[in-house]
Amino acid sequence: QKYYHYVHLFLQVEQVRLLDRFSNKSVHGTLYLTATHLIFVESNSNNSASAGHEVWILHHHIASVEKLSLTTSGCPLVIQCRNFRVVHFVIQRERDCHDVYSSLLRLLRPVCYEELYAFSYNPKQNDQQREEGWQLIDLGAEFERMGVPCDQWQLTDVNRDYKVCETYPRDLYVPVTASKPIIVGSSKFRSKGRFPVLTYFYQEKKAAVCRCSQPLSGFSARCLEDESMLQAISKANHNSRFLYVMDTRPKLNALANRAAGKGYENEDNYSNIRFQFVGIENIHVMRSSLQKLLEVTGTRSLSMSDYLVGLESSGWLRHIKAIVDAAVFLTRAVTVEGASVLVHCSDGWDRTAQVCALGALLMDPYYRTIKGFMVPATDASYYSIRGLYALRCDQLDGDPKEVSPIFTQFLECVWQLTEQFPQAFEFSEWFLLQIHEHVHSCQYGNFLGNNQRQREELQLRERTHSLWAFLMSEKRNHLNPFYSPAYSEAHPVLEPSTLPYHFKFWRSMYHQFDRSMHPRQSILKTILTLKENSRKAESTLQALESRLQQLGVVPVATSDPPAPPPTRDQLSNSHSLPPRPDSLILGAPINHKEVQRHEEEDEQEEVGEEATESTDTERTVEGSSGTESRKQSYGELEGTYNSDLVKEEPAVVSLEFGVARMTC
Amino acid sequence: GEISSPTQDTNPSDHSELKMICFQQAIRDSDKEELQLLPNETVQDMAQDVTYFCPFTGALRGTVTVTNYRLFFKSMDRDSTFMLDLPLGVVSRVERIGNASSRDVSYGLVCKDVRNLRFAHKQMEDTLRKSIFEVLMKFAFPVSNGLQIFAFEYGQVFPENGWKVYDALSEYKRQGIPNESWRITKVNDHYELCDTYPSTLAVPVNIPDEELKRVAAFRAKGRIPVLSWIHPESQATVTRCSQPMVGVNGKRSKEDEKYLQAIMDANAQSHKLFIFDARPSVNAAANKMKGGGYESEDAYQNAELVFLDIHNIHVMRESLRKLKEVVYPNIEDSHWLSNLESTHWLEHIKLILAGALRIADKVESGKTSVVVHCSDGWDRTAQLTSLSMLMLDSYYRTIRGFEVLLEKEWLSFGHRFQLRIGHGDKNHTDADRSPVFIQFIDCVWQLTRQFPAAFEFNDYFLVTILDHLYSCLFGTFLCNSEQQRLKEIPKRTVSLWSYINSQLEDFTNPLYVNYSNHVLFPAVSLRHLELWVGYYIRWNPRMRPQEPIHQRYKELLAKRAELQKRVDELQREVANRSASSASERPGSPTRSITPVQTFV
Repeated sequence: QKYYHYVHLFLQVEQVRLLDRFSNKSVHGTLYLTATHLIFVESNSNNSASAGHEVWILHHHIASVEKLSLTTSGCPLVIQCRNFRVVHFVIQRERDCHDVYSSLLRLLRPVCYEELYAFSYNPKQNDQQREEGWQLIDLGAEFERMGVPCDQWQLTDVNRDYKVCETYPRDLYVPVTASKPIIVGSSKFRSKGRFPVLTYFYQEKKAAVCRCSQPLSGFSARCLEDESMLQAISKANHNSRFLYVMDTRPKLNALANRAAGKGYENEDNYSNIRFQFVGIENIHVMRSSLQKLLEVTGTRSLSMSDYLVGLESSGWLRHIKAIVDAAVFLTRAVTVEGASVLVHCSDGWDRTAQVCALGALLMDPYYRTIKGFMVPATDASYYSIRGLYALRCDQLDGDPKEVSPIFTQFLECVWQLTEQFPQAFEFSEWFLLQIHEHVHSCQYGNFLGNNQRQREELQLRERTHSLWAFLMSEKRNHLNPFYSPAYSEAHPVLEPSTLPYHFKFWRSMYHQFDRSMHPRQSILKTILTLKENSRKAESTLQALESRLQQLGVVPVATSDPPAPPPTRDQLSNSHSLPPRPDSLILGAPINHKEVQRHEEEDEQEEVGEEATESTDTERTVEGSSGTESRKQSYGELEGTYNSDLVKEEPAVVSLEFGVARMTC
Repeated sequence: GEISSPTQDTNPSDHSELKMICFQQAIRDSDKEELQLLPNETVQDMAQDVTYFCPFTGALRGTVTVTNYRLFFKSMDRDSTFMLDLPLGVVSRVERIGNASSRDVSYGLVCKDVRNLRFAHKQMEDTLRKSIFEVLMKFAFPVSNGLQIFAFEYGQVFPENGWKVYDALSEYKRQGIPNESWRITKVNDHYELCDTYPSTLAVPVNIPDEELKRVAAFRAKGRIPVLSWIHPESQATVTRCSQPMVGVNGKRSKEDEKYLQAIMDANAQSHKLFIFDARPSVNAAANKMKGGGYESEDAYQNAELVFLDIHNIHVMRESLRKLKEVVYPNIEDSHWLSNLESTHWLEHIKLILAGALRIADKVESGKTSVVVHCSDGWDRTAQLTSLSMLMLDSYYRTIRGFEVLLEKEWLSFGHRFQLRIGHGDKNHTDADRSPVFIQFIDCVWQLTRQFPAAFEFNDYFLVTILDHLYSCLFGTFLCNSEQQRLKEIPKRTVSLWSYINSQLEDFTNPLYVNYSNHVLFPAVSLRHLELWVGYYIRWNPRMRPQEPIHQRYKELLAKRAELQKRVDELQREVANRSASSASERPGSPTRSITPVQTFV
């Protein structure tokens, strides 16, 4: 029995066709509409390999629904999702199509936070477990790790009641010498009151990375407190005589802001600063750039010229490069010159956040681990100080002009770095994709609300769950098999090259749901399988060793290692709503949790599949031919590994070592 | 005498600058900072105070040594020693830059491997003394100067003999030839039928040698359709030839028509034959003016003609020239992709791969035999047959299999390496030069990207082949045909495969899994193709890979192998013990132990 048979169905439409975006293939099935999901279930055809294929789409993921004009075969409905899934349905009767369309429009737009999925999502955890999930991030401890407070930096309670700056968190770190009047004065001279605060401290050189918003300088205004504030930051670092002020905007934009009474720091008024523009475009440019990128890459038949020229004219990779360039500049200033840097843009919550977070990632190997990545990716430098986040990701029906792919860009910058430094990151691409998925899913409380104040009002910690707890519990699925802690030790600071060919189109992100675009053989999967085999060999070793000890004394069956206690997920899995199957993009590397469920459901299918792949004498086709004249099997190597595994005696293999298609 | 990686700017003190593909090699290089002469390599000239204008790090002053094999530049200007080790075979052109009145003389070296080098030294005071670069010119172009190519002098002995890698008869035998439909003919034993073909040919059984000669008269350069590969199950075949001599009047040949019918009949599975003409149809039609052309479907019953739109050697040469401009030395930040597009290089790669995929698909899925030709059948045809064979037959994806594939489809079938590369020839504007083979290796690299576990060899193997394509250290890529090669090359030179097969571990892909019957159908969509940065942009020090990832693969595999060994040992021990205690208990206790499979 499937989940959608239990829950309240708003709609059920039979005889729906799902078209593949890049080929002429289509499948028939049934469309279900629930309170939270749109589900398409492929009807059982004679093609056993794809029988029962399901597509689950969370309403929160849907960016747009479009009803196209009626054709002879039915009424087309195109749904675009924020996680870059594009589904094209053809519904036989126009009436049905209209029903789906209008129901979706109604369901799509939650008008208040309480309607978001996070408030109803329940992975069957008790309060204590939930609380533990939220405690994974402790900003105070994080600053302590960096060596703050210290003789030059202290915690200030000036924003205790969110009075000085509504969009800042409560706990802020400032130079010891910055008195309250200076802070308050400075905040009045800064857009939205966002005065300079510490975001990262490079202990080795005592250099600080601070962030703020633009000064309200207009053409000539000055503010002595603000000047003292910058002076205080500069003086807190004895290694350098000056402070870099990095305006992440293009100079033209900053100049334009002057007319509105804002602008940038005048080097003449501030002693010992070095002012620098880095030229990252604003959210509107980024939004239309992504739009263009998706248009180009979404085109079905594309010539090589159109593709390359389109990719370039979208400007997307150039924008990514600009962000990485800025982070590299920041990193060099701090780690090589030992200078402190103050970063801002206009309001200091988009470009500033991207650059600070990415800079921290380059400087500090801790942030390149799964646990550490939460920090730059969330509270420390990103979310708690970032504000307007919900609007950027369009969680509530806000102004479309404020929607922008800032966070997608940040993740992509990280991905580009992982491509250059395959050993430096503990997490794999899959981890980044999962985060991206859930930023938009509104399933967890981490990404809701605009600022700490609003989040406290929403009682997110009490009423929702933390994504990081989920990701940590799934840690094994997100590990990068190439990760080498020794490498990080030898190369604590990364110096990426930003030559243009180092920036590649991120196919796994933008085509994650387009099966025909997936790699034929994935190195990641191969290596994971390799590691899995090693781990299995280790367990076999242990089993053998213990068996040798026990030989003749204990019966065979008990020589198995004891089954590990079921994890939280395994426990919750049986009760709660199953996580959306097969929305799991890209074929998760080796998804241990998925596997168990699949085993139960698909046992029969797999026998068939195995038969087509395991025989060594049969010719197997990998990939699809140009003409697609025959039924193909996407012979992922992994499939063959696993069909071998099926033959094994399952006795020693514990759940912990479960690999796809193993019967335990 | 170790062979140093022939084309490497080595900076021994800075390991992070080393390229992954040359990782192993580079480590070895870094041990020595002096020029290590190869057997029979002799120093011809030396010059102090020569400036090398490195486009990436600026001018460096140092010493140049020219031998009969290489140019060696060494500079101690900086904190670390800088070395440049360039086989002279790589040099395509040496030009003197600047006027006679200047105090400095400057020389530009245009190289075949996507880079240019510039040197300068003071004007010679003794006007009779030659510049070292004039000495270099003599040895860089031995053919033009009546000298011997260095491969004939290099006498290194390797444990493996690469000349034994390929034997036509045993390769046909591996494919099951001769069989009831195909026979081996000796008609070309003395290269009388066709001097650019190998001596051993496989042809349909029921066409006698006499008729072959009449077919040869109708095919350009006598290159008749012969078997390249046969499907082990369906008996569908890949055959190759040159264009038919149709001409403007639409000449026909009964023998040729009968011959193609015989090729079709040899495959009982299909009543159709596909003829793949690699050229664009316009070019094929234009060839009629020169007496060539293509098969008309009227004359050839049951045959379907398909044009694959691959351009000729001149277009390809121009494309690589543009690519070199775009990638060397500096890359323009803002227009990288449109500049790349303007070279059309990836588009050509795509067309070649798409053509090979169509051939492989017809043979594998359609069970239909195919005939492949272009004009002469030694450039585009070689690319297409060898790539489709690589997709169809996993044997060619092993190191030895790939060597056999090159020996067979490229070398024995007369791809004109001497002309296309211009070994030791100073005539750099020769219109016969073209990067056809480089394109093929690029296509192979694209395949390895898409199927990272399907190939026994790694990137370094492919780069090494291309480096020695130019180096003139080995005899493998000398001459234009089997006939020319036969007399002296194996006797007097060393095969590249001797070198490679003597240190296989350097060239082995740790991810390789041997699936004997897997057919690869790559995605030829542009989203899956990318520029082979590790080859074309390797001179740029910023292109350095940040980490030698191969090392990690190897560590993982070693760990696994070690575990496997332990498991085996323990399993044996358990088996022994339980055997001794089996009398006490019934059943087979060893069955409870999971066998750990060896996949890689």
